Amino acid sequence: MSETSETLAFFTQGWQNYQNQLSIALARLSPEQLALRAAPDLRSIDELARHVIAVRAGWFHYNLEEGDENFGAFHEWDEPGSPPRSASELVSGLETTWQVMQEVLERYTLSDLQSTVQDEWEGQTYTYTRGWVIWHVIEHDIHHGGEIAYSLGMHGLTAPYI
Amino acid sequence: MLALDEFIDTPVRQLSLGQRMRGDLAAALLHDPELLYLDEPTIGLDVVAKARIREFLQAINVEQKVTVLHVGANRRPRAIAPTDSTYVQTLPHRVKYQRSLRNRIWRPLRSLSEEYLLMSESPTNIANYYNGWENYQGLLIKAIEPLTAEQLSLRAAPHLRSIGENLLHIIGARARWFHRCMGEGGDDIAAMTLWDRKESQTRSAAELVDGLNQSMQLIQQLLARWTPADLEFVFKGTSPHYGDYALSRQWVIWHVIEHDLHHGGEVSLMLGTHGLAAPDL
Repeated sequence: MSETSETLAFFTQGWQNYQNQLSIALARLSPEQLALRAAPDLRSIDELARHVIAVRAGWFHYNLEEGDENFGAFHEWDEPGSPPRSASELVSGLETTWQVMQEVLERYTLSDLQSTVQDEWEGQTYTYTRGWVIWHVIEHDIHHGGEIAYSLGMHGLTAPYI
Repeated sequence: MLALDEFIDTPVRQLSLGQRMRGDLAAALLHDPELLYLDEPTIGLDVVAKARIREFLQAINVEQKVTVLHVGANRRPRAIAPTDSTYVQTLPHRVKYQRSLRNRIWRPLRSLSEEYLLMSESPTNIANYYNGWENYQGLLIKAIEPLTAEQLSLRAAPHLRSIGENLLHIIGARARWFHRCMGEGGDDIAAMTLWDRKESQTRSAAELVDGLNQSMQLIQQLLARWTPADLEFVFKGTSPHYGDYALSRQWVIWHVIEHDLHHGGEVSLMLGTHGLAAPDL
């Protein structure tokens, strides 16, 4: 067993590789293409990407208390009225948030996963383990990554191949 | 570090358990071994003596580059020091060495974190690293369980997979990676490797749910059986997509997770596109 097995560092390579594929697909898109959506009531490609970035910052900064204020500010990217972002801004947002997450994953151990954090939502307090938070961000990233891929594919654009 | 001078002239039968273990360790190291195999070296010792032994083992690992294989009571063997190319396959009550170890290309680790020696705090399986996977599947099943055959055939564009085809692909990929690549599961899982072939039959929602549940049951059993050390086992083979490959178990597990979630997201978007309830993350 290597040292990496005791921390969550072993997640980083696969997760980062997924993000890279997503970034490659997003990087070539024009503002018009980023505004494409699968249906009028569903998020556009830009909105999905901003949602991924914002949720990362929300959980890692406001719940796990990681990263500085600049990192936390990404949480505002999918608030109502937030402006669309260019492809390069989205790629940069993914990369910048990833840096913080990667550092956390390389530091956390199994015992960290079992410790808890609290979150307030609509007046109620919820308790989560850090492991739940990490998993949730993984599933959120990739689930919405799949939605981005499908949105790209249905408009004839190149999607990440998994 | 073993403080042998405290009892160097004392007859063995008069030594305490901890003193005997310290003496045994000194004897085991007389010939400067590369590998030190210890069978429950701290059993029966008090907390202070245990800490002393662990501290000593850590020191000889780091300073003298001795690889330590440490077996504890009621626990699987713990290897201290595998390198990138070596591993120890751990099984209850026995240790199976990889060829590279028998060929003595096992090398000591350059550094060692204290946690490796604190066996009581080390995980014996990897299930806790993947908590949440089964829950995600539960959300997916909740969304697809009520779908009719017509709804399962919906797709967002003619050249893209339908909802049902995406789910067959999730199940087929799980089966291929876990059965074909890693050799796990029986005939039921083997049959699922073909579920997403073009010529394969369509499946009802109930069959898809059953396929997801069966494959997930196998996955959960394996995650509860595999240790962190097992993550480094490398599978070699050839596939049409990857050519000649050498992939770690860790890579395979991650890939199946990302494959599940990515295509789960696609299913979700298709459901939403057609006004059907999608998994709510």
